[in-house]
Amino acid sequence: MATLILKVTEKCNSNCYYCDVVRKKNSGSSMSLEVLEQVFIRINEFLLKEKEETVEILWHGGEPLLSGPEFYLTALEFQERYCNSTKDRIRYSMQTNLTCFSEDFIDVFRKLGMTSIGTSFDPEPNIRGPGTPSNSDLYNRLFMEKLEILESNGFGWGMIYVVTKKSLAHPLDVFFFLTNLLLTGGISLNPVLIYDNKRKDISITPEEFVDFLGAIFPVWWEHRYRYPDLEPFRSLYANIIDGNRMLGCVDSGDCTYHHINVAPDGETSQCGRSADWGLLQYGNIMDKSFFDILHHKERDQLKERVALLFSGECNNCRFWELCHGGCPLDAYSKHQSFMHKSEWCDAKRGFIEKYFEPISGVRFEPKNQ
Amino acid sequence: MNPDFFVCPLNKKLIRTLRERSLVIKLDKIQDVGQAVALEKEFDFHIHCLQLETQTPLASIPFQNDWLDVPLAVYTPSLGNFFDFVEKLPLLRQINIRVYLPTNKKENYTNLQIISSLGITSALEFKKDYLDWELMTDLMTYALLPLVPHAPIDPFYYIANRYDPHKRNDYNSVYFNDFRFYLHLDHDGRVYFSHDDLKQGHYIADSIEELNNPEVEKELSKRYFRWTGFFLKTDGCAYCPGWRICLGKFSDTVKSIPGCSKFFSEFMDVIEQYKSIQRDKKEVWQP
Repeated sequence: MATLILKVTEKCNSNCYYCDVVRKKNSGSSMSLEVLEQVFIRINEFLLKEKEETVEILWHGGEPLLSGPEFYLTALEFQERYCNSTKDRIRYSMQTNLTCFSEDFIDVFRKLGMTSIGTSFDPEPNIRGPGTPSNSDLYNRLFMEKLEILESNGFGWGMIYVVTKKSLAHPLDVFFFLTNLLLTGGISLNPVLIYDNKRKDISITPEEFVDFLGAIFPVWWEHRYRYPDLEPFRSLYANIIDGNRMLGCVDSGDCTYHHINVAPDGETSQCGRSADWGLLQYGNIMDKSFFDILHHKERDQLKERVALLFSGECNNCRFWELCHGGCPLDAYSKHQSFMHKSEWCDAKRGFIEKYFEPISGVRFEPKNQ
Repeated sequence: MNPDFFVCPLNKKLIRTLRERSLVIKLDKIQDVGQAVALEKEFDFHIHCLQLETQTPLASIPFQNDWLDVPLAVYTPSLGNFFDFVEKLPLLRQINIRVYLPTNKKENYTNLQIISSLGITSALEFKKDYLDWELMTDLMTYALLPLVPHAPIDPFYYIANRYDPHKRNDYNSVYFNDFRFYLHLDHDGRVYFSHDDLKQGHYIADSIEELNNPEVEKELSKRYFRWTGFFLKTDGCAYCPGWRICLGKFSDTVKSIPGCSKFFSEFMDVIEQYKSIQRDKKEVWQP
C-alpha cells in the first residue's frame, strides 16, 4: 500500500502550543485545484501500472477542513474523471482538529468512503486552540459542537493525545478523560516532539514518557476489554501476546518505499516532518510520477539505515522486530543524520521491560533473530 | 421524534387525545388504579404501566385480585409491617410489579434485599440528599452476585443486562426518565423531556403534534449531547472511572456526599464479573 499524505493547506485556525506547522516560515499556502487534479492523474497512472497496489490518501494540513467542502467535492470529481477503473483501490482518511467541521462535509465524505475521522484533543488549558496563549476554551467548545454533528451522522472518530510535561502530573486523569470521551475507536498517546529550545516547559524525556505510560498501563491491562483501542498498548499487545506484527510507520522500518508527502505546491517528500525540515525531497508531482517518486534514489538511504542499525547500534537488541531503530526523522533531529537509532527506541524498550512484561507476565520473544 | 411511551397524569380529557399510544399513567391515589384500567377499556390506548406514588407503606397497600394484568410501578416510602407484607405475598407474586423504595431511609437498602429475596422485583429510588454509597455497594453486590436466588433489583439488574463498555450506559429508563423512550405530559398536553423538566415547567412542545417540528428535533439533539458539557471542565465527572455507567448523574452531590466514583467503579467490575458468570455458565453432564 502506498500512503499519500496530502497537505491540502498549511493554514491552520488553531495555534497549538506544541505544533511546528504554524511556526513554519512558509506557512499559509494551500493546494490549488491544478495540483489536486494532478494528484488524481498520478494516482491513476500508478494504480494502472501497479495492479496489486492500493493508495491510502490522508488529508492533512495545516487544517484540512479549512479548504471547505467544495475542495473535497472537486477531489471526488477528479477521482471519478481520472480514476474510473482504479478508484476501488483508493482509500481516504483525515487528520483534523474538527473545529471547522459542518454538515456540509457529511455527504462528500461519505461519497469518498470516509466514515471515520482522526482528530486531536487536550483537556489541559492553553495547549490547543487559536490565539496566544492558545484559547483552549474556545477550541474545546467548538470541538464538542462538531463532535455532535459527527456522531449524529454516524461517523466514527479517533483521537491523538500529545503527552506533554503538563500531562505527567496526572496520567490516570488523562487516561479516564480520554477513554470516557471516546468509548469506541482509537486513541493514540504520542510524546510531544519539540525541536527548539523555546518550549522546554512542555517537552518530556523518553524516560518521563515511559513512566507516564507505566502509570496507566496496569489500569488498562486489568480492564483492557472495557476501553477503546489505546496506543501504544494495543499494538504491543498484538505484537507481543498475539504474535502479530502490526507496526506503525515509526516502528516498521518499512516506510522507505511506501510514503509520499505532497505539499500544497505539489513538492513531495517522505513525510510531513521531512518536508517541514527540507529533507528527503523527491520532486514535484507536476513532472514526476508516483512510481518514480516512490523509487527515488534518495530513499535508499532509509533502507541502508535499517541494515546499518541491525548490524550496528541495534545489534542484539531483543526488541529490534518491534522498533527497527524507530523513526529516521527522530534520529536526524538528534544526530543530524538518519544513520542512528531514535532516542524514542529507549522509551519503547524501557516501557516493555519496566512495565509491559512484568505486569502482563509475558516476555517478548523475537521470531526471526 | 416519536418516543415509545408517554408519561401522563390521570386526566380523562388528556388521555382521550392519546389514542393508540402506550402510556405510563401517574397516580397518587391507590383507588385510582381501577379508574385508569377502566379508561383503557373506554379509550383506545395501551397501558405500558401505572406509576403509583403513595405514602402508604408497601405492606399496607390493598392490592386487588383484579390488578393481576396491570403492570405497576409502585413508589412507596417503606416496606411496612413485615407480617402484613408476607400475607400479601401470594397475590403480589402474581402481579406484574416493580416496587421502588427511596434511599432516604437506611433500612430500605435491607428492605430491598428482603423484597427481592421473596420474589418481588424492586428498585432503589435515588434521593439526592440521602445517599449511602457503602450500603449501595452492598445492595449492588447482593443484586448481581447473589448467594441465594432472588428477583431483580434495579437499576443494577437493568444496567448489568444492557451494559456495553463501548457505549454510554443510561439507566434513567428504570425511572421513566430517559427521553429516548419516555416523554412526559402535563394536564394540558405540553411535552417535557423529563420529570424534573415537568416540575420546573420547561416544556419542549405545546403538544405531541409538535414533536416533529425541527426546533424540537434540535432540542432533542442538544439534550442528547448534554454529556459533552462534562468534558469542557478541567475536573469532575469526565475524569471518573465510573463515567460510562453514571454519566454524571451525581455531579451536584459528589462534593457533599462523596463516594459515587468508587461505587460506580466497583459497579463496573461487578457487572463484568456478572457478565462472565452468565457467559461461562456450564451445565454439568446429566441425562
